Amino acid sequence: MAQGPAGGDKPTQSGKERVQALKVAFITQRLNLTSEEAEKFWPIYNEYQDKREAVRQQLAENRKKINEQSETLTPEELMKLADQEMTLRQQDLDLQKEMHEKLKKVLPAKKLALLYVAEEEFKKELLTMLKNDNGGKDPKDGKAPNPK
Amino acid sequence: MVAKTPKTVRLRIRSNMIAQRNLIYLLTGCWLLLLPALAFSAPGDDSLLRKQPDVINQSLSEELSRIKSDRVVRNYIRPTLSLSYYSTGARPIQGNVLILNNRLKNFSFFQSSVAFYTPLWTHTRFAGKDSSEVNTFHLLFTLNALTDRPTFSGLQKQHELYKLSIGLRGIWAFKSNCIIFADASPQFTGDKYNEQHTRRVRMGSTVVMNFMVSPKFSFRIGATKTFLLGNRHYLPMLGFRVGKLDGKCYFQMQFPRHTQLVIQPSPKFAINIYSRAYGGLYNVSNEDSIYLGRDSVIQFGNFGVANGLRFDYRPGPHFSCFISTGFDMQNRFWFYSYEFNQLHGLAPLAPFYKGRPDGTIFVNAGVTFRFGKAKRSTGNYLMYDVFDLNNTMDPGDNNNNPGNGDIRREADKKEMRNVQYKDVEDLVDEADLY
Repeated sequence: MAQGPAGGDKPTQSGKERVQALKVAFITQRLNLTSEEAEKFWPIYNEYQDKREAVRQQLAENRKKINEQSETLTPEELMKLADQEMTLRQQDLDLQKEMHEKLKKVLPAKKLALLYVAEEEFKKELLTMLKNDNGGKDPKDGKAPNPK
Repeated sequence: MVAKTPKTVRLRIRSNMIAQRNLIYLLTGCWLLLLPALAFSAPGDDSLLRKQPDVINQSLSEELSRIKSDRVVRNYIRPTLSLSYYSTGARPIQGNVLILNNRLKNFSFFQSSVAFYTPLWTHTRFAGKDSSEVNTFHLLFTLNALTDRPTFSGLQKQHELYKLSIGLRGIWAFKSNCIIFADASPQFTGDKYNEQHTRRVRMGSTVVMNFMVSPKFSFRIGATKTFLLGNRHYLPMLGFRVGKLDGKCYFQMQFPRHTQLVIQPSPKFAINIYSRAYGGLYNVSNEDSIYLGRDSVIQFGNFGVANGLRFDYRPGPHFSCFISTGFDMQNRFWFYSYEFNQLHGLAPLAPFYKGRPDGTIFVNAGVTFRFGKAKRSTGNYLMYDVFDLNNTMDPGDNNNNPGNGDIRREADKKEMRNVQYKDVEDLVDEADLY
């Protein structure tokens, strides 16, 4: 789930595209997908990633609104936004479950299980790259992204 | 016994039918003009993103579902605008009528084109026996405005030929490996020399079926009604591709349009060694008496094969450009006279003059703008074939190719460098940081 600071620069389209291409290469290699599996897997995976991205955007906006207007909104409105947070998180989980059910039909069990491992590994690899490239600093605010 | 309908009633019914038909034409015309605007406002519209959700009278989950579905980008193909310019050097003509050879003298050719397409409706659904195939249907509106200037140094005033094509195309991708592509584009052509008498509507159309055997190989079969070769032709379309569209290199042949070898050393650059046909068929004014008969309008068809080297640069997802040069060969042009052919019982497009200009160098350049967001398609090779079909069959039957700027090249390991935090923050969960 997106946990980046609210506001700031938006991700560039080319940057996001590049990360997507890297992710495809990473997962294809890690799962050792055959052509037939890849042909069926990527359309389903992309479809759900698009839907999840819409949910994540809504989450980010809700958080931004809470962050910026927490002093001016009424307690009822703030509670509604907090409820929305939970509903959106649930929707994201529902989408993941839907995708999982669809992917069961196109991937063998081992590869499906490895997909979730590969997604985590990809994130870690990106974070390592970021740390190495930026000296561990978030380019947006110059602070380290690691809250530890 | 059935009573006969009085003549006046029949006439009234007939006039009503004509009025109804005209109304349908009018509404269809308005619809065609309005659809692009609707397409811009509907898919991917993010106006709701800025709205504060009105949750007072609706349940929270209903509201959120609505917002979520409105926020999901719907189109795979983005609205695209391409501009291109093509120009050849002047060279002498070898023709079959000496008097016209002397009159026309040297020949050079200039073409400028503006092409646009936008998705009107995109439908994505899960299909197949276990609902695990993603089928997509794309309906696009296409528009092309083109100017051809065949320049004869012997004529005092040159003819400027124009073509405006407004069309629709449908692309249906199904069963993980099949695509059906259909394009219909009426073309409004004429000669600015005498616009009133040279206007002519022609219809170009193409139907192609594409089979993706594997990401490295696909083939196409179909049929086309085209004026690309300087006459009206009904031709089969046959083609194949070897190599991945997002790989370092692929080869593609597509009769009767092009053959190309594309080398993609990096995601931003592509080198294309190609051979492509270009041309068209127009009514031209005979006011300057190209033809010595009495016709006020004659027909002009031209055809050429551009063999060259093209460099494409794509700095980002919204813009790409190319420059190309090479040798223009097999150039031909023809003049036809409908009147003469009719009088002598010949085919309508039997030429009275065949001109063969010598080969020459050409320069071709273009820019392409892609607007808005598209659904992600990385790694979806069937969608890459959809993009490729859509780009190689340009709007307007001109065979100008804006390039596959919407296909992201396969990622290299070295690209892992220069990743910015803002590009990955969506992927990162706080738990990943501990």
